[in-house]
Amino acid sequence: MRIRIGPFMRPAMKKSIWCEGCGLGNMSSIITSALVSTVSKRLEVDPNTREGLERIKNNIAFVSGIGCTSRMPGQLDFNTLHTAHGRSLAFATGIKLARPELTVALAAGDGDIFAIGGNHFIHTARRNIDMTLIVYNNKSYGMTGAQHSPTSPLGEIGTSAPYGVFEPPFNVVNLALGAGATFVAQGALTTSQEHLDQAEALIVAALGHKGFSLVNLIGTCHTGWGARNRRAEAFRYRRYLEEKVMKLESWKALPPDEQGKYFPLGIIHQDDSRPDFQSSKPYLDAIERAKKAVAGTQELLEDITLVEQDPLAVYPRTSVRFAGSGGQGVLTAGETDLYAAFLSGKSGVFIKNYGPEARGGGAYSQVTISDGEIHFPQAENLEVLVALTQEAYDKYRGEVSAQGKIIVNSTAVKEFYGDARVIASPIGDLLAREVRPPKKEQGINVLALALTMGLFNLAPRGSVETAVKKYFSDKNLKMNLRALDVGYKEAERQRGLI
Amino acid sequence: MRTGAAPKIDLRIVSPVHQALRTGVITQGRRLILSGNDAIVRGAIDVGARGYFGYPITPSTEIEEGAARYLLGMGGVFLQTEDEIAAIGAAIGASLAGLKVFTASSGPGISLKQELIGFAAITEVPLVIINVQRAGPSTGGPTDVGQSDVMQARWGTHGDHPIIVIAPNSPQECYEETIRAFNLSERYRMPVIILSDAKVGQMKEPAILPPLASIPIVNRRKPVGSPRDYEPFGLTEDGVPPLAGFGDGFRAHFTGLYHGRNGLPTKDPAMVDEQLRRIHAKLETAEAKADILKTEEFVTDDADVVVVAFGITSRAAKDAVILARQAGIRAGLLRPITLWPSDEVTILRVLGRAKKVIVPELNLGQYGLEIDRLAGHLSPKPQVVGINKVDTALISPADILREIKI
Ligand code: SF4
Repeated sequence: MRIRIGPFMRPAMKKSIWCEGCGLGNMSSIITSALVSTVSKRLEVDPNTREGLERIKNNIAFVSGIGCTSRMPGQLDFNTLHTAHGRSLAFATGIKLARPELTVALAAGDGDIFAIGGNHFIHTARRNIDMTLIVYNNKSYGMTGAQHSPTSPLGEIGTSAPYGVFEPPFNVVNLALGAGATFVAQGALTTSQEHLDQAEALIVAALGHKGFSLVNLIGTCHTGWGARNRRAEAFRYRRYLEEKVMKLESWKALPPDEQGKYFPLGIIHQDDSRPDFQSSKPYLDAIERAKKAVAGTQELLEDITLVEQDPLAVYPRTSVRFAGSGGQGVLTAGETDLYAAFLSGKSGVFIKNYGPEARGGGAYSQVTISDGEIHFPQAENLEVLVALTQEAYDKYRGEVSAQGKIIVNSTAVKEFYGDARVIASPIGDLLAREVRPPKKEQGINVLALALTMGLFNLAPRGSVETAVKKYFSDKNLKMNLRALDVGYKEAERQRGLI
Repeated sequence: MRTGAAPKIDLRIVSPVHQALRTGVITQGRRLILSGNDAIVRGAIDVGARGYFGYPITPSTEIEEGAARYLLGMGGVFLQTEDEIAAIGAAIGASLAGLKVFTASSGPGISLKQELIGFAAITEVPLVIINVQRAGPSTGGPTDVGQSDVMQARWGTHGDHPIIVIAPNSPQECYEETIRAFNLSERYRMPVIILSDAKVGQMKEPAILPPLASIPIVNRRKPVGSPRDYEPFGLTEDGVPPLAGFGDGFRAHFTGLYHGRNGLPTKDPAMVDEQLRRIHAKLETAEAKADILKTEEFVTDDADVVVVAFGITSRAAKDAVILARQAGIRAGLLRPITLWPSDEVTILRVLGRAKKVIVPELNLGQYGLEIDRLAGHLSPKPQVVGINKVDTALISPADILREIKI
């Protein structure tokens, strides 16, 4: 069916910026016709009725980057977006993900999509997002004046290649296939009506394909590249292309060393077995899992009364650092501590070290607690250090104030350097003997936390218990409550010793 | 207010949630321990953001991880893109398709996003961009704190463009200001930057999230009437044209080229001028200023030494001011929460009484330039002193107190 494209043009944009004789004019008509016929079928509406026309236009998003080709969307009365150089596929990805029901098509030049936009091209192909990219491949930058592009033939002359192009061009088809495109077609905009009809048929097929589709149209730029390579006349340049292209079947029959000289025309690759991104099982499965996960994390509203504080007073602060090796859960210990303090009406701040410093035996979390608001989050000195490993003890004991205390896991820390601030507790042994966790060291953080909270009365036991229940609800809660109990008992025993 | 509607909290005050609890507007909340980065995700979700596109980078990655955890299960869209540029490009695309979207990054990643921040500014696309500042330039200190993107946040993309930049200093504020950032972005149809930092992003504090019904939510104004008359960049009373989503039936063209009221490219000098001035003027109305500008004043009424500080450094400054007051010095703190545009009236009022103005910041003097510029309007001009630190450590209360006492 021949489509009248007049009704799809924006009246104000009837006069294009393109040079007389450029293939972009053909491309614009072909794309419009292909889009309208495809979308009218999809929506089952008649483009010749007013309502049908409106629905078709509303359901198309047409996106481009920068360059001569990229002016195309502006002419057409769809939802159109003329983005930044090279970025059209990124923008289109956002549109398609947000509005899957829209038919999303893009027009791009070779410099736009294969040079500055190359990264987006390979990743959009890899993801197989359902949209159609039509490239006007004239093997040069037209708008900026005949510079060479990643598809320019070796040896030809451009304004940025005055002595001949000396970098090899992309094989666009192989690039698309390598990136995982599920539909790759190639056409040419020559003087032959057959080629124009084929180009339209290829775009229709591409739009009908569910997944990422590329239609690479070999085109011309007679005023720019052509003028520098003895093809300044539009008709002659397009005739010249006819000698460079070949039907796919004939091309396949060529000996391999001959194939490189010609561009095969037709659908070169089509894989309908692979679902498009938004219909793919891993994506849909992830959404289902995410829904379950989100439904499971409803937070309940609690009654809250704010404790009023004197904004100009200096409130005493206590800083506690839990330090140990990565697997000992010192971060959770700190967070549980902070939550318990919060529940009992105090303010608190949690900081941690991270990066290389936090690996090995020196990971820490540090909680500063106060009855008043805490502004500066760092403490000049620690009041309490809880050292679960020798490395943590050696590394951080220097930061503890002279009157501070260091709770040391004497199961692991053997050298105290006669430090009078040390409170030695066999945390590791207690854990193994009385808590008996299924995995070694599991629960050591809760035991150490309970011991600390019990010894220094940083929050009421009820708050600590509630906090442990919150932070360990799905992680061996029973065992952790046992660890809590053992920790508090140890605090009692230590109190007796002090 | 319609009867039966839940009372909304007022976002213009410093901590709207605390204020609402204090005044009994709300009595309940969700009590959580959150990092600044977590809090931004929570704020975004609670205000209705349903799209995130990003690329991992320290120290902002928790925002992407949080978005990945929640959005897909809430009918939203999440994608880790191939690079930082794709992230903001896809975000703008999704916003044009009608979603509230955000993207977060840091240091080098924010530099990469600059071109498209300009695209969003000139096409007036709502979008929230989070910069969890790290020490720069270049790769700098990925895990180290910095505040050296102050001028980049204002002027990072090329060309004259309006921008709103908000600098929270705690997880609670990250949550509340993210809500405000989205609301401003939707209300004024423009990109809004949240300028956090590595410390605010990583530290955890107790936070109170209010009941969802109490959160004021602003959605972009949609066009009404005949789609034929729709002008995506038309003149309106408040300077903010309505915005339809792709597929809504109000077709339009969006381009980074200079464009007319209909969105189509123009070379008409008068139209170019009209549009560029309009996108700036929409932030200049009294109502817009009341919405956008936000500054905390802490004992500034009688202050003759004023510390001007934002983000993590403002927390050291508050301690320093309290200590100075205890020593009998009339010190005060001026804390811009909206960093750009400048709250000039408030700043000039407070500086007008000061003999000395101290601007501590984790850079070699950026916000200090703006304060010095404003101080230049006063006569006599108060002394403006910077405390600048770029050794990756924080400026401490003692550092500031020392300068207050000089
Ligand atoms: S510069 Fe070249 S590509 Fe651009 S419109 Fe003219 S002929 Fe066509």
